[in-house]
Amino acid sequence: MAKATTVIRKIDVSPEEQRKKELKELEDSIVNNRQAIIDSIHLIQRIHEKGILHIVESMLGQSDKILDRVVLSLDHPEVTGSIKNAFLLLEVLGKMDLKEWEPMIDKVNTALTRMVEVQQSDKEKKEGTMLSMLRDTEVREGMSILLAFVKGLGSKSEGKEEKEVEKGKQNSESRKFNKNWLLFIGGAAVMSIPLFIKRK
Amino acid sequence: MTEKFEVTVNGEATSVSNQKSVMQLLNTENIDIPSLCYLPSLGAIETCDTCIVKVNGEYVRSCSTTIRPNDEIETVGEDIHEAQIIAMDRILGNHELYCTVCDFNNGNCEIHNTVKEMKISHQETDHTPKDAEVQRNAFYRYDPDQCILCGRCVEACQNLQVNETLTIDWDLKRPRVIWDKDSPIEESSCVNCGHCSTVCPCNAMMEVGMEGEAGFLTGVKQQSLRPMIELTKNIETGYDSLLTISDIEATMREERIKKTKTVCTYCGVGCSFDVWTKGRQILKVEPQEEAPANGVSTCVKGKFGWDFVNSEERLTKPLIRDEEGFREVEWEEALTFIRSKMTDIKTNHGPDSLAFVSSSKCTNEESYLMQKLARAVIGTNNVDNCSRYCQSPATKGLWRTVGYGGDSGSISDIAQAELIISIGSNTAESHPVLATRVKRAQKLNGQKVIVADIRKHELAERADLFVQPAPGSDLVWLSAVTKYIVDQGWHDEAFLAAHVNDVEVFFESLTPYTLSYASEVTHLSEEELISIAERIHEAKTTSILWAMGVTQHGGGSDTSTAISNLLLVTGNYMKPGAGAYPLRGHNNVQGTSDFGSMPDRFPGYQFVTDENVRQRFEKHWGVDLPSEPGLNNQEMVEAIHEGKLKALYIKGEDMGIVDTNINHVQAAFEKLDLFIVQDIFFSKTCQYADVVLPASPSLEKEGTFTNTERRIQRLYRVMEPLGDSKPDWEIIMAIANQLGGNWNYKHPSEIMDEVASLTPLMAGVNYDRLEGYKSLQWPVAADGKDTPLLFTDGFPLPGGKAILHPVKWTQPLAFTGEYDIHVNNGRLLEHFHEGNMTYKSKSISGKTPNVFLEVSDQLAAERGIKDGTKVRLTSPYGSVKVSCLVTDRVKGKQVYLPMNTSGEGAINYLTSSHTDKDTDTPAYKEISAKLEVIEEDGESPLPRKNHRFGTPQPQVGVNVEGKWRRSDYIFPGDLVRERRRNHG
Repeated sequence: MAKATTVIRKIDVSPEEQRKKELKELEDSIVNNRQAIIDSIHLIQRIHEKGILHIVESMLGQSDKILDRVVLSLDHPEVTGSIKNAFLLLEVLGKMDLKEWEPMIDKVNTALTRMVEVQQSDKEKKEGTMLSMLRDTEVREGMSILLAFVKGLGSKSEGKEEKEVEKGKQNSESRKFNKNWLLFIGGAAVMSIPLFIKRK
Repeated sequence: MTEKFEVTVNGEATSVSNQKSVMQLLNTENIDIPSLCYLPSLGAIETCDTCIVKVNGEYVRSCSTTIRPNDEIETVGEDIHEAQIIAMDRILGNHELYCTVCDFNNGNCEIHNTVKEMKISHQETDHTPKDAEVQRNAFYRYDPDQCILCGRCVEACQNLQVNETLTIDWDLKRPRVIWDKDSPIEESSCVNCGHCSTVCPCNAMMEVGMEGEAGFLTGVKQQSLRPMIELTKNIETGYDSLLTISDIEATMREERIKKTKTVCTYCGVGCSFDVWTKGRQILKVEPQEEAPANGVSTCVKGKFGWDFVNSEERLTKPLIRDEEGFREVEWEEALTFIRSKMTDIKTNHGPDSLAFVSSSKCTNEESYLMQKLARAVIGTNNVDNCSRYCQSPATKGLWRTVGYGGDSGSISDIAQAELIISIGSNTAESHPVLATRVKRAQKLNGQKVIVADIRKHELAERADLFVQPAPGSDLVWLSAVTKYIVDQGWHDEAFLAAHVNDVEVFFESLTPYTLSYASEVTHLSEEELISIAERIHEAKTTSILWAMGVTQHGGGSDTSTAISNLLLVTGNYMKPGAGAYPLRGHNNVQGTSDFGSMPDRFPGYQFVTDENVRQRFEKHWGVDLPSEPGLNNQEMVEAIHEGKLKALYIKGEDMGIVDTNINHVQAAFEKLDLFIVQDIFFSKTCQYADVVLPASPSLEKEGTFTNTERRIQRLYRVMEPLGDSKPDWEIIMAIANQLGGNWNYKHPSEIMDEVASLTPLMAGVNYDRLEGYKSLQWPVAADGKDTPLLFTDGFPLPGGKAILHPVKWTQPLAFTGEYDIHVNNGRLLEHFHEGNMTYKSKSISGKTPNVFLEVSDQLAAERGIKDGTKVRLTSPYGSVKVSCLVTDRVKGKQVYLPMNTSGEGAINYLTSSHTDKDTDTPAYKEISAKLEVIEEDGESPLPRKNHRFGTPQPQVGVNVEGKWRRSDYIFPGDLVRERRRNHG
């Protein structure tokens, strides 16, 4: 039996009562999780002793500015380049079939050792003319390996093209990358030829 | 024509049995091909070119190529892959991949997933900005720099929602999506239905609620975001690492973002969708293609109208009235108070001095409990619901003629009908998603639409034939059309002979409804009447949709009967695409009556006067039950005035605003000894209460709703009840138990099981069968078989036959000279009914802040009215004050006052207590008033940014031909062929 009214009086929870209620909730939560809380406190104590807490606090306080600065510094071509190259290097490592190369690596090792020996030798170890060298079986074997290498460099890269289409994209960048590797190795090989030419 | 034929796919023969696209065939064969723009709900769009395969040696798009016998289809090959990559590359040129800091990276970004599946690691075409601004409004935003021009949004806007606002301007140097003629979104015709943001495959078109909220890093402020994106791009060696990291981040998000299915709480279409929440914060509403009623469609309310759930105005504690007003109390005090008062009144005045009103917004289970409280605990049949205000006449008309009071079929039937007749329904605004099916069928599939309404609303503008009969005269033209059809011999004789009784008597009764009589009464020309009859005759299937324009009249039941008669005479039942479709307004107005909140019916429409039925319920409930029908809500108001009704318990109903003649109703409230109101907000009705109980809306509880298709769907709890509010079923149970009910339901599924055991109509309904997006349309047999299309096995009436029921015209209320303005009233698209929920959304209120009165040009000129003029309308029952809007949607002395207000402009201060003679539904549409100008100058009630001022740009879909015509376009298949030719 009533006239329309819009007057609504909210329940007066006195501030003390509200606080009591909230404290009780907190208390319950702490007691129920006491082991985790005790362990966390030990951990925090350690961190505090090392001064790390202060560091973290400050970093978080200034996080916006710090983020801007970090992003700014990362955004240098050299930095991004080197991070990118690091990733690429990892990928190239994946592409190399090192297992097949293993026997070759032994041979290269031997080649390098001999190379060093020749370098360090006195003039008594000289071998004679190039023609006499060619009669040496070891030399002939080494030459055929080198030739095979050179032939490989010069071959038309059909197999490679197929693979790239399968992957779906002509990767101009990585092609450049591969080219660079090849040039480097090729150049290194060429550079090492004089070492086989006898110094009189 | 479903002959099987052979095709070869990648060398293997397969047989195909129906016309499909190549893409559909490949999907059924589980062969993966990329696709970006294709969406089953929209069909083939042909803008992305990624689905290219080879058919008979030619490169084609698989989405739009139909299979023919002996086709040879290849999906694997370097050249095919190359073509797909070219297409994908162009797309990446339009979209920056910064997935880890993108709000859309939730596992369902189609660009991200396609890049992953195609193992793309680099793009050849660099992404460049398009030099166009981000378009934004309060609901969603468009970032042109992320837009891949797939055109899904345009397709959806043009061909699914058919609002026709979006297009892609292919002639720009860098094409992008534009609104209207390239207006800002706020000034366009966009209705914010949300289709575009739903179908967008990436983050280009995205809901504002997601921005900065969905990811762990997406909230980073703009300043740091750009350099971070650049950094990531410079470091990335390829997309593999990018995708891996962003996939991890996307998975992490699932820990924080909850995705829950619910059913919309607004209108009777019953859209269902997932709601994404972070705690109580709603990020977005994500419709799903598998949703049975709506698929990917929504309207502004369902997609964006959920602010009310977290509104500060929510009731969170029970209130009890004392001398000074209301005070907040704890539940215990409120329940004790209710128990003592209710017991007193029942003891001193008998059970029939209490009455109960159920809500058409609450769940089926809650409706059942309310009527069980009334009947089993109190001992009265005084229980009703708000379908009394709108749908009872339609239900009555259908009971009389075909036996079931519900839609004959589903929304898909409406979509496939050859002819739609819409009578007294503003479908595009009141049932937006349902209207989209009609608009789409008309635009793309040749469906014909006839609209009969006194007002020129959106569907009327699109109609193939639009007639404006005199208000309340529909029965006359319907009967005249029926008579004409019979006279021409166009009636379906075979159907009538096999399935209908009382045919001859009915034909006799049509005699007075000659064309000339009808023309005189309805003011429609004889040509128009004949045209309607001809169109019905020519269409193989006709569905008639109707709503309040028919039912809210003194002869509403009879008019609904006339509609059903017409359908029977023309054989438009028992087949897909045909039938009667009274469009239910609220999300659960169908269900609330189905589950028994009616004074003369138990759940499933079983009569309370039927002794066998009553005994069954008495046995299960363990009490004796009253055998006399109780009061409906109109009768309740009179009974209060007469002093016979002392207590009223209302849930989820703002009766003090939505009933007619609210001066009368509010006066009744003041006389009650006990008035309990249960609601989510402190509504106008609450102001009169003695006790106010805080309830939970749909997102905070479990239950089911039944939509206009008789489809029962489950809603799942998205978040916990706010404050001390509780789901309505828990409150009713608590009250029942205070009064000795001894109920102990632990979950609504138990309530549903109880209903199923007592109700043959729902015998097979249980929550397992309704899990996820599954649904059931009643009648549901005990084995779970439901009934999408009614009457296929005959009619649930004597002999299995329908009945033709003669009806006579009831003249609408006549008003004397000074009340010369006919006040039409009804709904708006963006506000739901009186706006108790939608006004809590600032975005929606921003576009439509007030109620307004639509006034015709003629009337405006006559009375000196312009936009913003404030007027007073006065009827014999009350008066309202409201601001005017001059428009051609109304004509002559007819005005339109939408119902979206509880203030001084509320329509029901004008309406009378006159009702439908058969069901007591108030005749809201029969009201006239006199008009006085109060203030000539004022601000227009509708701000410029309301969508009604926009200029839509109709076209059929995205117009991909515009893209193909560009000089810089070459089909990837052609490009691959050229390359191969050049390489020799």
